[in-house]
Amino acid sequence: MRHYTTEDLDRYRNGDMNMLSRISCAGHLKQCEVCRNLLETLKQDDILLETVRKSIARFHAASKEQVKPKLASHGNH
Amino acid sequence: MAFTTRKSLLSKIKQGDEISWEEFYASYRPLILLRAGDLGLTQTEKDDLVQIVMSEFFKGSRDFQYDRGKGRFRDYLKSIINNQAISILRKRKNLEVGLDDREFSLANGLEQAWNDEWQGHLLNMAMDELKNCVEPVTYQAFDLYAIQRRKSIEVADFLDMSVNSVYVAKNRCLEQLKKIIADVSESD
Repeated sequence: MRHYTTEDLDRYRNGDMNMLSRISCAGHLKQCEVCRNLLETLKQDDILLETVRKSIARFHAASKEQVKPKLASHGNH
Repeated sequence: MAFTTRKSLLSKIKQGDEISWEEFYASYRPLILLRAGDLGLTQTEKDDLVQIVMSEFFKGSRDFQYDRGKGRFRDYLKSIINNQAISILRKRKNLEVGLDDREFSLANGLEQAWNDEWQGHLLNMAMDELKNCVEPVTYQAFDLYAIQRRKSIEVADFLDMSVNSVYVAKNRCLEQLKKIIADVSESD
């Protein structure tokens, strides 16, 4: 049995496949545990990415907070 | 794929390498500010806390080396931040009712908040590290598609690549990011 690649499944779940390919992939997923597991891994990756996005936004906002002038010269020892 | 030979900041700290003021400040200032916010400090007090914590580490020098005998760095950093935050709060003790309750909370660590901030810090460090581990165009495709959530077709058009290449870039960066996260998590 030919398995789908990670990129194939990305295209499948993002609607980047044409109709026939999508139907074929959906049929394959019903029968193939390997590809279902890979699809599940991609969903877990989505959770990681969401965490990363929130973290970047939070730390980016903190890094933009104002600094008092006395701190700016602290590194010039 | 180009792999970095540059050590992560946490690896340097763990191995007792010299850390520059600029490198430490850029990486840890946001974490200190977020912790200060969790502890209820005002904006002015937050700035004071950053300066005091930096002084604690660098003591007038441009570089410092972490003494591993002091234990896990994240715990050492937390204790410095907490202790200095308590000192700042004590300065306004006569101005505010209920400080004792806050000191009690600080003594108990606000542990979950610190763990959350630390995990966020690690993820940010991992993302910085990722930039050094993959080709610039691969990182750019990952950033635009997976972080900024642009549509794959838009990213492909913008970077003059196929949609499939965008997904390849995303998955390559994700695999590398997971390795880096595992690495920096071990290093903390």
